[in-house]
Amino acid sequence: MKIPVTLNNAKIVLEAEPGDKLLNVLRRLNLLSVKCGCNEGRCGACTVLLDGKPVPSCIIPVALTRDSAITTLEYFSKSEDYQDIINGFKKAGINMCGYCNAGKVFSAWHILNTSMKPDRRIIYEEVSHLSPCCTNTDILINGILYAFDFRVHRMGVQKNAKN
Amino acid sequence: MPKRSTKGVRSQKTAHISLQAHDYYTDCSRAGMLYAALIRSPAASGIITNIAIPQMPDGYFLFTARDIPGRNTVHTQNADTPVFCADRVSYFGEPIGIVAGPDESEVYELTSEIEVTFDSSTLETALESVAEKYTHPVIKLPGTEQKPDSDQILEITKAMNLDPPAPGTIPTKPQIPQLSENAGAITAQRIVKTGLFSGDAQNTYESVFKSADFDIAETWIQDTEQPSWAETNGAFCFMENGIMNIFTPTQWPDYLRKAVSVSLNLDDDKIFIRETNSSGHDANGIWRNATLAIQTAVAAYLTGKPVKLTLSRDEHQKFMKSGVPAKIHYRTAVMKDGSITAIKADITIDVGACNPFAQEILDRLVIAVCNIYDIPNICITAKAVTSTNPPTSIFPEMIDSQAFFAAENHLQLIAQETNILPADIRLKNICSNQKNTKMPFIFHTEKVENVLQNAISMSDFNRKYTTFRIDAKQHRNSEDTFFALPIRGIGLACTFDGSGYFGNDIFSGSQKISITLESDNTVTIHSLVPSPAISEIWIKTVAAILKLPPSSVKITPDMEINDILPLPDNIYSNISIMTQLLSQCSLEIIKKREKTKLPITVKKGLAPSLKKQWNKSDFSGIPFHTTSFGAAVVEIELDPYTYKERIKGIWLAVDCGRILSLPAIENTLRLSIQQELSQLVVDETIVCDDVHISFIHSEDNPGQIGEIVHNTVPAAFSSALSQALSARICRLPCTAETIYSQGDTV
Repeated sequence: MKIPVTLNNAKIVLEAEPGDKLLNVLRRLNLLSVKCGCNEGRCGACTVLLDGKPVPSCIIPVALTRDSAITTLEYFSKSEDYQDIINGFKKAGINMCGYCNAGKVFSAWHILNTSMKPDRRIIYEEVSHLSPCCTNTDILINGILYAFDFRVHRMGVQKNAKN
Repeated sequence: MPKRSTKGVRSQKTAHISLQAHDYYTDCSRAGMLYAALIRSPAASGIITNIAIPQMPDGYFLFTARDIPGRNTVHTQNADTPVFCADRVSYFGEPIGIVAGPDESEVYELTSEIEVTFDSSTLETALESVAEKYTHPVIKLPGTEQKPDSDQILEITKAMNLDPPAPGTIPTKPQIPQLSENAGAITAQRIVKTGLFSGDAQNTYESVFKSADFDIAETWIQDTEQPSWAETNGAFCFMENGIMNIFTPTQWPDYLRKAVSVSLNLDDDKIFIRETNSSGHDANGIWRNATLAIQTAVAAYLTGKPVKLTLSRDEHQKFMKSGVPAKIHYRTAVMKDGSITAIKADITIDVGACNPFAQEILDRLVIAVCNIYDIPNICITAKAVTSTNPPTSIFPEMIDSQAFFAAENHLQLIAQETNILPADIRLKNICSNQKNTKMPFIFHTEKVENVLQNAISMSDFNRKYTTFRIDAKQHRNSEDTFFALPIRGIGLACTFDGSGYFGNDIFSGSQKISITLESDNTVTIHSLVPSPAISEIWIKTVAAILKLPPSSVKITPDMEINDILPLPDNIYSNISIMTQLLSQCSLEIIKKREKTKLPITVKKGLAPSLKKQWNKSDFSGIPFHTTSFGAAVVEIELDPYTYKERIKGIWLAVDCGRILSLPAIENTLRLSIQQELSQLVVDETIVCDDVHISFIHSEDNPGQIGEIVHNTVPAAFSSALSQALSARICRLPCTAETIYSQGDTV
């Protein structure tokens, strides 16, 4: 089956069986930031942005992504938002194992994008399902709060520069 | 987890593969790569007579035991296990062969189509032997006698790979793995007797317990398993320029290289092992993953193509279980003042079809089974038995928690029976004077009382324990269910975390480390790169002693291929031993700096005199290089209608010697608590927002803390749950059904 999508800002046609998991299709395309974790859509290791929303690619049949925009960490890591998040994580002392990065980064991005001023409770609700393989939730929340500071600071600097 | 750099380890002729972004073996690939899947035995026992293979499409391969170029044996310690089962099956799911091909889903399909035929007489014999013990209308053989229903019928169906009977047909138990009741072969045992139990007279046993004010007995089982969300076990292998390249999350590359060499009939220097990341707690990296790597290497060697074998999540959970289920039965003689005068402990562990480390596991459980208490008369009998479950492995940092679970819950039970506060029972029995103790195992417990007192005062344990006990009685007697208040309980556990066990040469043998003060005044630590937290501690330690900026200290695993380290990697990141050796090296460099030209290299190893503190022959002495202590209090609240559990608070007090990095140690403990809470109740992650951690000030050598949470929190949790439910929770993990049914009977 041919499935047209926008993958990492490039229009392509995916060749796959309709029931194939998006996770497997992306990994076949060498997009290896998408990892297979619990395989039940809970742990976050396989997270991608589907039309701007973080989703677990291990439970999404590829046919459902027709005409959608899919973003993986490979592409997202070139953005300024990613830098803010990583700077925040570093400041909080987070050393990610490399297996769960997509879940943590995209969850953080979703919080920064949807909340005017995130507090610990809001963040906790968003990240508590992620696998505790390398980072405890308290520190992850600190990292996201720091990331928010970095983002606000960067956007302020950019706005001032425009003016 | 230590990471091995490829620098220096690879030989000149090794292959080109970029691993910068491929720290996991599942991310590795090469042109023409084949995917592999294992053919597993559908029965737990029997002799294979035939393997019926469907028509193999072009480019697909099947290899079995007879295709192995070298020996079909993996030798580990004193145990031999087959790479592929040749004839007699030892356990359900034992690998019989490997299928490899270019399309992953096709490979899995072919694997499922392969039919394995067993010798009917052996299969019937196996069926009859179990049917003699348990018969039921669902499985009835001609000529067998009918006996009452048994829930263990489920085990039989599992063993025979039959579909389990429909729900309601037979009584079922929760999904907790059952200890095999079949008396298998005893692969390891240990008996320790002291005081009045030193002799064999049976009447002595009875008289000791009869003369006590309380004779308290109970059986405890812990078999918790961390939910596995990380990469599953497997390997990626390929031949290039006559070199077999193996990418796998092994923690013992030297052992793996030798094992592959034997199975492929290849020289050691023709095998290159690249350790990939293994995230989470993976006990299989030491031993069991090696068999998968060999199976993959066989396929890669015979096809001449790159081959990747990745276990499915289901396979990983069913066949690569890392823990060893332990059943511990205690009988204790207790006086009215709370002093324990005698203890009889029977330990049984089910090691599955095989576990080369059974003796080590058993010995560690024996050492931990009396915890830090001073009991004048002890009789510990421990045995490791085989079963038709898959083989098990060892996770050196987390062996003894099951003994602590049993010991601390039994203490709580004693407190309940004797009407003495649990904290007082512990303080009464803690071994405070090593010189006068009759215990064969010696720990420096000078600060344990501090640790315990700290946890008790932080959590207000004594007041809450008394209040909740009264509450529980009232709740039991209350008939008013409409305005029911939450049911509460609180539990306490106090344990040690020993590191550098002297009883086994593999895990405490010859740790060495060397550092060089270079000509440009920078320092090189010659070692595998440990985890970021341990790296930071090492760098800070050396920089502080040599009075240099941390940026001038680096850790480099600059080894040649023949220098591959002989011991499992986690031995080299043992924080207590290695940090001490690093400090000694740094001090030696300071001494030499005045007189010797740079560069100066100093090498230090564990002093042999230290190991002599433990007497292997009579199994007594100081068993660990360093010992940390921890006490945890867990307060739990249950919904009065649904019995849904919620942890209101966890208080943890730790004495781990000198603290080298407070943020790192606190992060480790908090992460461990979070991981622990995900395994206490099956399919549930319990949440706790209120965690308090305190450290006892100390200038002693730094100790490990990795196991403290694993040792204390489950025991404290089940004690709290027992109090809340006014019932004994004797096994972990428990299930929502268990909690509800126990609560409903109150």
